[in-house]
Amino acid sequence: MILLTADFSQADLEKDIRDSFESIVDDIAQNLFEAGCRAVDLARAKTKSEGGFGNITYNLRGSIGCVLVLNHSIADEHIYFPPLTAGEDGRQDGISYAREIALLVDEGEPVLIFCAGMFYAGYVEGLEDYDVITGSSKKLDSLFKALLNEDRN
Amino acid sequence: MKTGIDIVKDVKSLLDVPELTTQIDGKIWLFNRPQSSTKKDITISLLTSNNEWQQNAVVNIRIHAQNPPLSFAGSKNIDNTMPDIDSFEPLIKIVCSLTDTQWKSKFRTFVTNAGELFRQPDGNFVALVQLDYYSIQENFKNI
Repeated sequence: MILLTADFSQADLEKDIRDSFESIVDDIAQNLFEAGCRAVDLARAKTKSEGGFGNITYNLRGSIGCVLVLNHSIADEHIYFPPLTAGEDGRQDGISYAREIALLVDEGEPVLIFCAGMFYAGYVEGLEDYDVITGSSKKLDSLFKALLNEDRN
Repeated sequence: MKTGIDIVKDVKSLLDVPELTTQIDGKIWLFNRPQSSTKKDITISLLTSNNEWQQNAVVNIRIHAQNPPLSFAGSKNIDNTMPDIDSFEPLIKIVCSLTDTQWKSKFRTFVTNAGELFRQPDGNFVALVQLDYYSIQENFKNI
């Protein structure tokens, strides 16, 4: 008769499972944030001749960015609003707006907030037909899937 | 592949019905309406679209109505800064009912913004109904 005894406890097992799960969530969250950064770059790079908007103050362009909410907080490295040569007011408004939205949607899971922070962004899209972030937001799914596939390979 | 004009025409086909056209004294226009128009018009235009196997587009439907001249007790002034709610309310409801969750043989539409009012630079209000539009490409024969 063979007697097998585990050299680990039930608590050890649960900790290993929890650590593995958290590591997977962190990886997914990081990919989600990187997809958001790529979408931000696409949105900011879209010129008026490509269906985007023009620049007067650069505030609208500067206000486009994303943040990742993870474990009820936003780490500095998970705020992506790269500065432009102009439009710093817009950039600050964008960050504030993203933080405000974060308070509304935070449920602990990884949440990506991709926004244009200027109050007139909806007007520009709705009445002028100039794409601000809607076109890029439609690409988020495929950007995210591509990053997950890169990781798997 | 649906071009931008195809997409806008698809959406127009949903709206170009007596239930709606009898409620406006203007027309349903593609992309823009004449600058001088003071009528109740509807414009359909495209915000963005892609060329994936399932094409996805965002369509803006704008409902235009001049602000009505209003007078208030105690004032001799005529006020024309208020939106024409009496016109907007039924028109928004009809447009949404004709475009929300529509499964047609070649395309589908879903309302994502059900009639947000914006003030234009000339002071008149316009109501925005925004749609998500989907169409499976027929030129993909190998799927």
